[in-house]
Amino acid sequence: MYFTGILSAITFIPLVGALIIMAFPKTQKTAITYFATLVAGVDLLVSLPLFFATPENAAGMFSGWGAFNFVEDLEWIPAIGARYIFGVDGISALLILLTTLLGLIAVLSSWSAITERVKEYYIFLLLLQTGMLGVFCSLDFFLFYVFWEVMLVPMYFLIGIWGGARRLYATIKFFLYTLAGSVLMLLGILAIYFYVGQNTFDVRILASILATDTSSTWTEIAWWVFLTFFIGFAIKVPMVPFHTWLPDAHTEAPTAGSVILAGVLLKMGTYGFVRFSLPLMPATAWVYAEFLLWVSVVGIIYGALVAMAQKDWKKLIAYSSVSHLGFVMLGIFAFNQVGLSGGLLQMVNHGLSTGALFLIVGIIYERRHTRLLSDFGGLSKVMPVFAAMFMIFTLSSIGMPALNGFIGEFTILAGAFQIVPALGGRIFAILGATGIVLGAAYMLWLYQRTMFGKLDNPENENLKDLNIREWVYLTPLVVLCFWIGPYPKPFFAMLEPATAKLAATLENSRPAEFTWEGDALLRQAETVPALPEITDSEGSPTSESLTSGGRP
Amino acid sequence: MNEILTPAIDWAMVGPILTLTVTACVVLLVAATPARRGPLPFILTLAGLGAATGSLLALWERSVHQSAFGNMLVMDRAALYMGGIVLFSALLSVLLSRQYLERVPAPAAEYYALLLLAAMGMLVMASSNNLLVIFMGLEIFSVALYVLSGITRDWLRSLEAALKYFLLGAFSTGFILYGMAFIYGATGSLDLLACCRQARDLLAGQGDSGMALVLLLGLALMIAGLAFKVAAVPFHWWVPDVYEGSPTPVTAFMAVGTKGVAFLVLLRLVTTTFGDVLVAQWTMVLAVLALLSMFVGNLVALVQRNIKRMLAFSSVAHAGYLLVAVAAGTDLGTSAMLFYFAAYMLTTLGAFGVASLVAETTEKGDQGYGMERYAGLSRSNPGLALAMSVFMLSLTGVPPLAGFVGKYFIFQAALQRGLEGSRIFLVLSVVGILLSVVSAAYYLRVIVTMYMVNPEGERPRVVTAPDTGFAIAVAALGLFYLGLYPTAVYDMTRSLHTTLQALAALWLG
Repeated sequence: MYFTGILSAITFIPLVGALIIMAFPKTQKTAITYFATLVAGVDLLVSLPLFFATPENAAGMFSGWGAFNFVEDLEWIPAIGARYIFGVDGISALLILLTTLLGLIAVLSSWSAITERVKEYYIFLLLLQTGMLGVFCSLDFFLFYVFWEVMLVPMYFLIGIWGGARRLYATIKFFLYTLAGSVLMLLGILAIYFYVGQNTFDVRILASILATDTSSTWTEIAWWVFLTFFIGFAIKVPMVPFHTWLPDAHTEAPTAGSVILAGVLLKMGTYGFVRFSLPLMPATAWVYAEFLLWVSVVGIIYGALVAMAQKDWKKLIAYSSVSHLGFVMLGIFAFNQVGLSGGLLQMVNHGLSTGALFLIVGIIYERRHTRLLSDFGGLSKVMPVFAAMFMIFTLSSIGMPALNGFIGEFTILAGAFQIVPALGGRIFAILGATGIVLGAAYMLWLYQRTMFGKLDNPENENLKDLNIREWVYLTPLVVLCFWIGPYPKPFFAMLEPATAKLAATLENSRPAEFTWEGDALLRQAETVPALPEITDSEGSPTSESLTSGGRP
Repeated sequence: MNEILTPAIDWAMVGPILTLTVTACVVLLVAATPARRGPLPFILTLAGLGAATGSLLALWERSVHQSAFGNMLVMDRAALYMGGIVLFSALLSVLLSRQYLERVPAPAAEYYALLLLAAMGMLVMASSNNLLVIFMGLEIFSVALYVLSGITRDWLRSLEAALKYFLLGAFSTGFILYGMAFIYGATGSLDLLACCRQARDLLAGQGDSGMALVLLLGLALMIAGLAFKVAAVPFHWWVPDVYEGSPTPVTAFMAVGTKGVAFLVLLRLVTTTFGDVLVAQWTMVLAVLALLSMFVGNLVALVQRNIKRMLAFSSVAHAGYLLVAVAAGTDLGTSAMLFYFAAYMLTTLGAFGVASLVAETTEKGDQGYGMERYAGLSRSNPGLALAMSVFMLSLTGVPPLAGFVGKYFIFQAALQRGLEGSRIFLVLSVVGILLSVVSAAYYLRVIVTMYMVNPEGERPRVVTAPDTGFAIAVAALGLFYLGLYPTAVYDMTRSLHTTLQALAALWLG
């Protein structure tokens, strides 16, 4: 069931699929569609074993999700020390599963939505999949950067060719914005490379060296490096004020593009913070902490307020993403394990619920070719099943207990309450909580304006309810919403070893002035059960040294 | 009576140069027979270039340092590497030319002969170790290119290009010649390596102190002249008009070959002759030239609506990136420059190749280099559009293409100098990398037009001859190869810095 090449297989199956599709004749639209679905489905199946490799039930083979598993380490460009290193911990494994699931759903949602240039469409969609999966798998900074940028190109085509009316503007803006952020990040990566001077981009080695480095040279360089990483990742997340590409890109993208954008692409930024910024520069992270927290909170409230004012269904969801991602960032920047776990779980939740909401918009857009809220009203009368599904995802998005959104937001707030008072303490939790209220307001108002009321637009009278295919791709999302909500344990179990390690790293570099009386109490509450000694499947010494570097 | 001692001449050493010369003469003879209309000149040219490449590879195997004609020519690996790039680009542009020459009013046989002579001149310049030989090589290929750019003599634009190129080229030759005279005056030698020792003694305070100033002036003038040839700002004014007016395959060859050998001579000048003297001065001059070129090239390219002019300004910008690497002066810089040049060669030849196919010929000249002509190309010619996208993305520096790895190497070299405390290199790396984002805007415009803009009316299918298509495919696949597996070529370029340095070390002892 497990084999060492599993990560490469997951990553490159879509690429191989795309190459095969290139050989299909252009006119064979159905065959291409089925084949693309098959490829995405196989990819999901191949990735599923990752979920069952949790520490509890993989006794003997994998001892924990805190270290990197399934490691593949091959030589690539020896002259600059870049290697082909794949490996996942609990965080990336979960995000890979999210990506392969949403990848299949995105393909399914395109069957009837895409009728023109079908061949090119599926090629780009599958290439995008490879790029995203590569980002989550890479443990080599150079390799990571390559995938990070590769991802841009297919997305650029997806928005630009199959997008809405202002697609050209949106797609170029998207490309330039993200490119600007990532090239700056490249300079940061290079600065780290030269500072460490070991001719390596292996993040495991880099983290073990840098996490405990307190020299003044590094403190000075790290300040700049953190800034470049912040810009690169914050644009991707996007954090206010770098968010302006997002509403355009989201609104103009085809449905599948929006789903992938919201579900996976935005997670790249948050993932970047968790995988690179924080473990590599924990001390600098504390310097930035207050700024980061404020930016997150401003994002939550600003995104919610702007969402409330939207007249376009899709744009409303897009702005709600800004708000929700602010939440994720708040959890991560709380710098404690609770907040980190909450933030990471909320990344998955947001991918599921917002992805689903974009599918919902896509379904209605396909039938009516409009997204203006004023064109709708009373749809629940003609599309009851659709309305029910929409209700579930709305409630999930606003954090209704028993659904997945609640558990994420609750954990984030619990983490945010424990933010060091010297940084502002509970104010962030309080401000964040108002974001939930605002979120409930704009989502319910959206629901009310579209689903309830009189069915006064005659064009809406003959709308068809969900067909089988739509049922098929919405159901797994509903199931997951109802699963993560009441029983998030397996997901937290996957995240826990990794977040514990990161929290410990952050804790070790916490400056003295940030200690407070709550620490003792929290330490008691947060005591992590002793994990079995962590080694990756290769028994590589590098991850061993990371472990010892990360913990006191 | 004493015999005059002639240095032993190793003919194999000049094999590539001789092969090209002989082939050019044969093709010229064919031009006088009725066979000139047939495929014979084309085949002969290809055969000549192939033979030259073969003898170049044989030289590569022989040894790392080898010189001929009493050190006037050095066939070291740096010369062979750049010579290989010249021959490869000549080969590709010949492949691109055949189809092009069928539709334009130009004498094909003479065209090929001139192209061979230009390549020969470039080889001479690449392997020169002597100020006079540099000049000789420069003039051989420049004159051939002046004629080539005006070879479609019925077209006004082509004539304008030729005249402009000739006048401004003569001007730049004047600079170089003047610079050489000053260097000779100061050091009393024409040999780059002998100059090197003299220059060091001079600046160490031995000899006439006024001569140090003369030396500096000589260096400045040489750099100015070479900056003309590599199209660096502020010596770039000829570039857009000449690139636009010349027959497109010629433009491609000119953009690659001239720039390549001029950069190699610049590299020889600063790493051997001025390797340890006046370093602060030339570093600053080159850094400023680089900064200006990146700025002007990228920003002006933004507003171009003609693909050839856009590529011309983009070539100015790329001269800037390459200058960053040369200015760094480290082994990382040298290898980055040489690697990037390989990527630049493939993209430039490919992009101009596609441009020459998409254009059409009317009585007034070549038309259809406007951006609007690319609308809908992705549907009429998906392969061509895909290749063009690859070239544009590589020029932008998007992985996994060669342009990305090349830019990465360059900024790696610059940032290394920057982190060592040199502020100008910090500025160069940050500004350069941000300007490469700006460049994405105009490169993407081509892709946008090809894929996302609908043409007015039906877009006729572009006919691609097999040889032209082959050349373009080779360029596109080469970019993937260099981008995904840069190790082979990069290791080669890494060793070249040592080659250049070792040459100087040999003399300095």
